[in-house]
Amino acid sequence: MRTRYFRRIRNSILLLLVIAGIALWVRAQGRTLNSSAFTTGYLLLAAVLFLALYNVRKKLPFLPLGSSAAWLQWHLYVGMGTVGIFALHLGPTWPRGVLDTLLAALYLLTVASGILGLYLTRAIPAQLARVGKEIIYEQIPAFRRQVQRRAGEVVLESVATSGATTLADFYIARLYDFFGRSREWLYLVRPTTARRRSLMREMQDLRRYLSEAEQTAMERLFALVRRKDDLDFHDARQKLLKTWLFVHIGLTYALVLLGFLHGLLAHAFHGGAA
Amino acid sequence: MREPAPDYSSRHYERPNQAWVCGLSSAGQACPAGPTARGECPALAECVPARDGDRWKCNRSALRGGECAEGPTPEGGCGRINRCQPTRSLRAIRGRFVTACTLLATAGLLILLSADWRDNVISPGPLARQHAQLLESNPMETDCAACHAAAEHNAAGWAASFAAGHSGRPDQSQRCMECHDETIATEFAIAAHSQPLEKLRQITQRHFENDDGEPPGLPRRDKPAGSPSATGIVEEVACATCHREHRGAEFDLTAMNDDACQSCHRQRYESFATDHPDFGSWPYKRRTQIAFNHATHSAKHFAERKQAFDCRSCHLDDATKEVQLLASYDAACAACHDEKIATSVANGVPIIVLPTLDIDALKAAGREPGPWPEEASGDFDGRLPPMMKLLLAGDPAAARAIATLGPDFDFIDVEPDDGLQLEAAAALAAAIKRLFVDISQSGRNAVRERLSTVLGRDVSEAHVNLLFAGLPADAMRGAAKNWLSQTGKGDGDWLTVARGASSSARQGPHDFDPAGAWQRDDATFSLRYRPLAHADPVLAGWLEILAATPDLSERPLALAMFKELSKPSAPGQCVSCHSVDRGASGQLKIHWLAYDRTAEPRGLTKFSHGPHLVLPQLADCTNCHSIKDSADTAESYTHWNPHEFVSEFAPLSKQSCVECHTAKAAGESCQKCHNYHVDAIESWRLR
Repeated sequence: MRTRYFRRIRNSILLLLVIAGIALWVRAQGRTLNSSAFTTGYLLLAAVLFLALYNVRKKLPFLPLGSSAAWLQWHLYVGMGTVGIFALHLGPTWPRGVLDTLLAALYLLTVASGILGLYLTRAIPAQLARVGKEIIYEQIPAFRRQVQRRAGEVVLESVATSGATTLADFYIARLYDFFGRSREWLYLVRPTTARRRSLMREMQDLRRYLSEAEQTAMERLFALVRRKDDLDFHDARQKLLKTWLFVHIGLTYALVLLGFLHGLLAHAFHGGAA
Repeated sequence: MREPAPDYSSRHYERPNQAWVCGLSSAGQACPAGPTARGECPALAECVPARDGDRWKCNRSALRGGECAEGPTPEGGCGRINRCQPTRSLRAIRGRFVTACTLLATAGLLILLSADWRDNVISPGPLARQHAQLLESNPMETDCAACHAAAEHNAAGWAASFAAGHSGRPDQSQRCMECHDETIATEFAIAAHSQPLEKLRQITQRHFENDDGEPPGLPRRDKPAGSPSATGIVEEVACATCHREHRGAEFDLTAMNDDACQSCHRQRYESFATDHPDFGSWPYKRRTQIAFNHATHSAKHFAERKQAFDCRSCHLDDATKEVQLLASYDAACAACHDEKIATSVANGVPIIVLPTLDIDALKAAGREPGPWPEEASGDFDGRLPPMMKLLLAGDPAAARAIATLGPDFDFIDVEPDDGLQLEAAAALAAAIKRLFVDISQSGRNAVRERLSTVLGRDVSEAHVNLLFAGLPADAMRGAAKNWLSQTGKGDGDWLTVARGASSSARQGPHDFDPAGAWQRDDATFSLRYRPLAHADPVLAGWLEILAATPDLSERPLALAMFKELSKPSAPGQCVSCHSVDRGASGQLKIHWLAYDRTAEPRGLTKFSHGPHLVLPQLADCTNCHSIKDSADTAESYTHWNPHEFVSEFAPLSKQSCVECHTAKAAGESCQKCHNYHVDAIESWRLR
């Protein structure tokens, strides 16, 4: 932990020094009548291309290009560095042209999605760890199916053992859909335990009407409801962890394209320098 | 309590990198083989049944659940064949999404670059108001092309230009100059300070050589010696380097920061108080055009008349309040100076005069002059007026005679015993008669021809008219008749009244007052001119015609006549106040008017009185322009070099300015007091 903390401090200081160096360079350029916009523009474009290469790196795991963890660290710090370069590139004013505004907005959205991703990749694993062992995202449907099947088996067993259908009726009415379906889309954005607590409260209320055999089965249903809710939580969180990249990478490629056009226009329409 | 999670992962190895996922995986029953790379279900059996005698037996691995309940088919086929509709993996979906985004962005850009409204979209922002209003009426597609050559091309053209390395050249400045050619010389539009490099080098060198204030920020190590780079002077600066467009209607296109200046002026400049050199002799770089001694006027002349010496009564705000203009002669000077001027011309200014000739001496020498007024006979006497000498010098014989006697000759100096002088005097007498005849017969044409001859240049008819403004056509004829034919003479009379002759007075190069009156004085055999008032056109005309002669110093007679007419005691006393400068070409210039800063060429330094005079502490002009009582300024006007002078004001110090000119108060940026674009250096008054 101390090593990670030290590394973050060190890297942050280095990043600030680099940005300060670039700022001084830009200021020095102002005294040579050269346009610092080209310097910062090229730096920004190069940095964005480097950031985009991380995705390429992940697709080429067989090449000795350094570990993905190292790339991620570079990705994070260079990404934060681009904010400083972007500020130097823009200066004190927000762009006024349509294309420039679009480009700046794309950049900020990409950065925002990156920061969101950084937060999610740091926050979600800890949340998932609190609700049990690691579950592979691709295996969640199978687990759901398994939990659903067990719940059905438990209810059938209780009917066979007790001869009563109170629990079975409740299962059909209230739990069947819960075990058989995924959660609504709002749950993906903000998962809560409200549904689980509601179901458990109903199940608790039902206990006094159940026979002893059914109460035993009810205990197992309690555990299965909790397991299903955990699976839903894993599903929602991991889905979010994977889908933010849709936005981040999608924006990145559009940003790179627009950035190239912006650079081309800047050169073509440049009024000339000293 | 939770239901323990099954250890599912130990039996199933997930491959999220693959593009396709088994369709049964969502039901938790994915087949171990999975879809093909093309997303097709292989429909594999879960086992290959084994034959056991005449029966088929399920052969499914225990790891996959062991023998299945269905068992093999009668033909020995597996009873459990997994069929599904494979679905794309999340990664594949993401890849397609990103591809779609990229294609969408590409398509959007292609549409943008080929649309009519392309220029509106790629424009980096609205133009400054001055440019925007010019383009307002133009068709949209030509807006950008008005300033940018690139707007005439498409993306392929831009890319080709970029690849060829053509971008970044200051060609665009040429388009700026299509409109700005009237304010900035096109030839040097993108040169530093809009000046030829050589001129900048000369200025810089002069700063180093003279101790004329500090150099303008150029460090000593850059002392100009040879190449442009050695002077620290940038050869070309495109307009757009400093004038950044597309920053909105209210953006000040002329605003620059000090860093831009310091790209060439590398001497450290952080603040006006600590880093700016003192002003040296600025703004007193030359004597004033109108000779005026502030000290004596204040301490003596105004005091004698018991009048307050108030600067603001003569120095008036112009319409913009930026500059101080001098009040007119009538308003500021006439009350005292009219009388002195009138006294100097009270008896009229002799223009044509008959000298007294020693007829006997001439006869004895065999050079009888012919008819000559008896009253003008006796010992040699009489000084010819400078105007008459000039007219006589147009006659070759007279010119030779004048050369013999000298340009400043007086007939009183002619020695009757000196044959050469007698010959010259006789020649002049004859020339005077020819002059009378010439002017009587040919009028002003004769004057024009003679002056053109003596000054070596073509004198305009208008100027000749100015010299004899108001003189009746028969005045010379009458004089010749009365004086030289001995047929009798009258008492003389003032021939014209000024107001009636004013039209001809207006034909000259300056807008003088109306001409005065002419008198033929038969008693003194002189034709005299009496000015009406200050700014007389005839007297000024004679001075002007001489001053405008390019090679005056090479024409002894004309030079002497100019000096005679510009003496403090000369009629009208014109040059006592109106200073005469010798320009770079050697030609003289008489300053009839006070310096007009509103017409000043744009120089490197600017100053506006307006915002300063509103401050109570600066309302008194002497706060900055402190008069040196001890300065003898009269000497400064005895020659024609305006830069050789003694200033009557104490030097201005920047200490007067630093109190207000700080970053947080009145500002201390370079542009506050300095212009970048300046008019041709030759036109600067102070140079």
